[in-house]
Amino acid sequence: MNATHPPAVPPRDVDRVLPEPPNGLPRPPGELEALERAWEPPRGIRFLTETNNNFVGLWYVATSLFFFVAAGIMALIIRAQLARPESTLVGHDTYNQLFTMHGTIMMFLFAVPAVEAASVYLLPNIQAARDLPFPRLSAYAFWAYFFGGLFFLSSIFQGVAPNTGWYMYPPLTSTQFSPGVNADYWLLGIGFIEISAIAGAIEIIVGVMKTRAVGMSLDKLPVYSWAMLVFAVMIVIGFPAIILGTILLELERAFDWPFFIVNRGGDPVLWQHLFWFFGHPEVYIIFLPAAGMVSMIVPAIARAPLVGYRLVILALIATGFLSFGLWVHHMFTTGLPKMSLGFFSAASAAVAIPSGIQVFSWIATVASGRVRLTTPALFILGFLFIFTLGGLTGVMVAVAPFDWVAHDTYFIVAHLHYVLVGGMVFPFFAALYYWVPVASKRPLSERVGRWVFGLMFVGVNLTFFPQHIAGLIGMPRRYYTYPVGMGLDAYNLASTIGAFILASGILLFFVDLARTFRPGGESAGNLWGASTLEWLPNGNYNTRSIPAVASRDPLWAQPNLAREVEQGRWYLPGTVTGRREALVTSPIEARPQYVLVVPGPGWAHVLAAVFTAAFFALLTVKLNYLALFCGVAGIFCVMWWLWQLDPGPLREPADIGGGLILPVHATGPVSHSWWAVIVLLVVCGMIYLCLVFSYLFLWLVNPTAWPPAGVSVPPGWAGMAGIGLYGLSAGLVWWAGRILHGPEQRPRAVPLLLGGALLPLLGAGALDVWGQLSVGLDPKGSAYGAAVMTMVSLQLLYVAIVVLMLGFTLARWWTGRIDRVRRAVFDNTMLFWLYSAAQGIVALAVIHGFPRLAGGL
Amino acid sequence: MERHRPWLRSAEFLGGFLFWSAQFTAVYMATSVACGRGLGEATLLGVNVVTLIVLATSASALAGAAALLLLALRRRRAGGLDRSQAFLNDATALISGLALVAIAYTAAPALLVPACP
Amino acid sequence: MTRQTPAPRAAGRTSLFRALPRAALALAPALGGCMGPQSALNPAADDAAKLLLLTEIMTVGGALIFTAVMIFVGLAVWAPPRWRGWLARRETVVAGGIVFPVLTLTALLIYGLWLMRVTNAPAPGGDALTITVTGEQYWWRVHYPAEGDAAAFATANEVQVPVGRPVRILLEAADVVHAFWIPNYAGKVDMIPGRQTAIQFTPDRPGQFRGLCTEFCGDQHARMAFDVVALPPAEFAAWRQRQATDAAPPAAAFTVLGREVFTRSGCGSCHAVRGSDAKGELGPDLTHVGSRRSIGAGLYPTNIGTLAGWISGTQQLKPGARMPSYGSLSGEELRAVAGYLDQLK
Repeated sequence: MNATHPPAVPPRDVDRVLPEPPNGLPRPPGELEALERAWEPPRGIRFLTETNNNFVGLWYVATSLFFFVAAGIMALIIRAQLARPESTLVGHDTYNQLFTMHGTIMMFLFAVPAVEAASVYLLPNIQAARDLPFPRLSAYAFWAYFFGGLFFLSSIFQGVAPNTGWYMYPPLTSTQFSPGVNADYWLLGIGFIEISAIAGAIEIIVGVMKTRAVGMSLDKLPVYSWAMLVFAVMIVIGFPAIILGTILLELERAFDWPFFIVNRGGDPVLWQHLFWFFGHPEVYIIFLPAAGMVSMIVPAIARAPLVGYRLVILALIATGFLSFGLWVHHMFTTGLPKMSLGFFSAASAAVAIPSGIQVFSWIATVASGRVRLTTPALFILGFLFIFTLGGLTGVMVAVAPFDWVAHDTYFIVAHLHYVLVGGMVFPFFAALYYWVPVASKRPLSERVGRWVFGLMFVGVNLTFFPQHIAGLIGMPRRYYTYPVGMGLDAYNLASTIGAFILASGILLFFVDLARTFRPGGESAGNLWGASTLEWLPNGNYNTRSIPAVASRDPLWAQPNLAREVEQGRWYLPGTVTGRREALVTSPIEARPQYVLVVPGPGWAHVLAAVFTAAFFALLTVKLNYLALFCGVAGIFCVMWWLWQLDPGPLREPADIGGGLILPVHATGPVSHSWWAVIVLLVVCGMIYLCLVFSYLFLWLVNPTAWPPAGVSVPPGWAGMAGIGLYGLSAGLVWWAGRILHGPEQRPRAVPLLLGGALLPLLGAGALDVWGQLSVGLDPKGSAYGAAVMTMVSLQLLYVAIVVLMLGFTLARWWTGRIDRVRRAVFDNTMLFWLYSAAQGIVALAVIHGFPRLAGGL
Repeated sequence: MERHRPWLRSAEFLGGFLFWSAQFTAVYMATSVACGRGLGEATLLGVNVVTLIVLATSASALAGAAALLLLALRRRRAGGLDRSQAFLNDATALISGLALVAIAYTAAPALLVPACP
Repeated sequence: MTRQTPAPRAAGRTSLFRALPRAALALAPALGGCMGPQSALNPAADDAAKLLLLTEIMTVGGALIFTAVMIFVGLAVWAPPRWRGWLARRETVVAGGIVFPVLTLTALLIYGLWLMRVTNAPAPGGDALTITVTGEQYWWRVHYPAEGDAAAFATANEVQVPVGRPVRILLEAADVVHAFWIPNYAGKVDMIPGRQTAIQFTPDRPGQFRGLCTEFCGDQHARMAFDVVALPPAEFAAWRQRQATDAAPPAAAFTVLGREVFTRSGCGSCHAVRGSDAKGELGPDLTHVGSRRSIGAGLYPTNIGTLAGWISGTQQLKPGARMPSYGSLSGEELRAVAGYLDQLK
């Protein structure tokens, strides 16, 4: 491992007093060996059960690159078809499948997974954490994505790929106009992607907030970590809308519940709102991690600290918020009220400001140092060129009247590719060239890299620039051909040539990758003289010991850090329990809190992922019984996996260095498990909020009485009773939680109270159902009926999950695996139970209260 | 200490944009419901109702974000913050400041565009 | 493909500011596309002209900003240390990343919101010609209301408008979401089942243009265009009168045979020919189909040959269209029915 190189400009944010390594030398014999043993990957086929972020991250990135190539080849076929007017290279149906799959795969199977995959690898390394806090969860997310993605991709080879655009607007995607299984492939196929994304988001939020290097307070947090934090929170807020949307459309297709069917009270615009509330943040979800990567790479290539750190953090947070106020700009032409359009136009303009801040910050950083034009630097410059151009056309389309011209034309195709290829792909390639030396014995070739960059840069511009003009002179999107004599020929031909040039650059990259990338052994070292912790000497266990940092650029501020870390002089230099461990730190100041025993390899999560993917796949092809079996098997595997968790304190609190004694276990709000459940509950809450929004939206577009004539609201007493029962159930569970905090180690009241709380919960659920049955609610008859039935059904699903969790909790109680200290399972069940009761109360309030208050309006 | 009201600290930190989010949600909902129920031409004291709601909500949000900004600036001037607290304070000020721009932008349509058609 | 004659530029409208970008754009390769019959860069109505000005301003502005940013990037990498020192300051980040964007975006937002107010707005005075267009898979159902002494009538795939009078088109959708766009006239508006949207503009010169469907609506979304013709008011009134009349009975023998084939083949169950027994409303109204510039929703110019080809091979020409191919008609029958339709002018 090389010594660190001093930068051109020293960091100015160094703490006045540098922290001292707590441990002396020599280290006790066997300490390093024990660490290596704990982190040794399994051999043979069992290697696939590995959960270490270094391996899972690489598999994840590789899979995302595979899907990138697959979708790219589809694009080449599209461009080949459009090279000439009236071409018959591919028929219209194949073409429609190709562009739908190109968009869907790029957005769902490449862009988001790639940045998530990169973070699985990078985030722990950048924060000097040993691993992510829930390694089996990210491995599960990876395998579900791997198998599910392949299944989804297979649809085009069978000629049944989705063919209605990646955004799947009803009524075109309703059963009447899409009777085939194509749309179901999309709706159910996206299911496992949604799960992967949520799992990743939980992982990242807890990882960024709770597993950092010691003293890495928020003001020293790498920009990449900030970016990933905002990314993950955006997923938590934004993905639920598409989760709910896909549920509603699939319910409509499978059971004829008319959410989007006009003659029974539905509205196609509802889908548009749900889709774009997710769809717009989605593109910032894709961009922000890339921006975070750029903020890490630029200081390294400029050999100077980032200029304007606080401004960049402002930009990331502002982008995160503002991006949720833009979605209707995809609907500017739908005839919504002009003032409403105005709000979204205003926010769409505002969101350019944070991007401008970041661009100028990067320029300032480059200007402050001395840049060497290595391949990562070239890709960064290419990114600045392409992304700035894309951002400016973005400002153009933020102005609604211009969007009325450009919408659904190739101008938008040009814009979106400039910002996505410029704003994500180029930074991603910069990141690959930049960070490969961490993972591989040899870096990628600089000489070939220049060619890759050149071909890609020329290719991107030649492909997409002419499309701006083509759009304005009358070439709409999603046209499988265009007429002769419209003046579009030359632009399309240029675009096609550009696409093949771009493809050749990418091909060259993969050739070089195959020749030079050698993971799994020594790493090539800190070739760039960078300043952040992923460049510390590392093994399977990431760093030998976990340092305390005094600056945002620790390797520049603390020149001996690499050597000290390697020698084991910093915190947790071995393993205190003999197992894999990580250090949990406090969210703001990053003070060490406890040692987290990290779960290692196992089959349970792999099989759970296989069954999850199989469940969605079999539902798609309508093999429902087999799907049910796989669903049950998947749940069984998840419970098997969860059973192995929460081992309780494996030993008494341990010295992790210099006399700092930490517990090896934690419960309650300080624990990573608690945080994960809270994040999950926010997701659940957002899903339900989107459902309530859908209910209110349908009310708004049904100006006759709500409920419609002939349909009535269940009796009010049933609603009140249900609310009371949910409240009672929640109260009993909460009480049990309080008792478990008391002096007794295993109070007998706890399982009794839990069992007792089950009855009112089931009673409330039953009352929900009875109430609707008693008034003969018909979910097929009206959008009102469909919405109410969905609210009730979703609530019942949660009740069922609570029952499952109760069973699991009682089983653990009776086998002595829960007590006053070892109570994570109880706490998670309690949190989920309280949430479900609250959701039930909200549901009843809406179903019973809203029509009575506003039905006549 | 670390545990000192972390939720309040986070709310303050993000507060400017939380005000913007509330303003945005309120004005969009109000406009949608008003236009959806044919109240787009209704006036109160001679001013279009929708415009009034937008301006009133925006004024409140502006006041809230401005208050956070001033609070942060005052804390900065008072000094005595350690490095990490100073960062959070500065970031709070920046976020509140930019939120003021966002809130103002969001309010602009009320002055320039008719409510419904 | 229907050929469109280039429209004369209205007098007295040039200024250097607007002429320069237009000249630059016209120098782009593939001449003719920019000033073509379905180009937003060739405005022929009030809204399109305003939108083009917006486009030009933003393009020029954007190009200047882009160039400036790229110069800064270049300076940051290659300039001598004193210049780079200036670029490296936090004040520069604030100036370039906050102050400048806020100023520019504020101006642009105000301009944009004002433009949103004045474009696609109902003309004051209520003098507008109101037409209803319904998007179908994959054609356009057009309905003109009665006005003055002109009766109401239905047509398809063609919209004719008077120059200088505000036009208001009510837009609906029969099946899935479509969108209506006449690039030379205005922005586009979606046609959403269950809702009625509207587009308003005033054509400012005579000419022939092409409209498009721009919301993906299924298999043949790419083959859903329509013809737009702007006529001086007197000619428009005459056209309207003609369209409102019933179809004259066919005179020539083979067209009489054609009408018989038309009836015998059941065409009347989907298509209407006012003045005959054909009263179907599933497909386009054919009362004056011979007078329309194209058939198949902008696919082929109207003449006996294309009509015959269309009828016998619909599914080969536009697979997925809702009309079946009538391939079993003999050559003589085909010629006859095509002749009958072609003389429905």
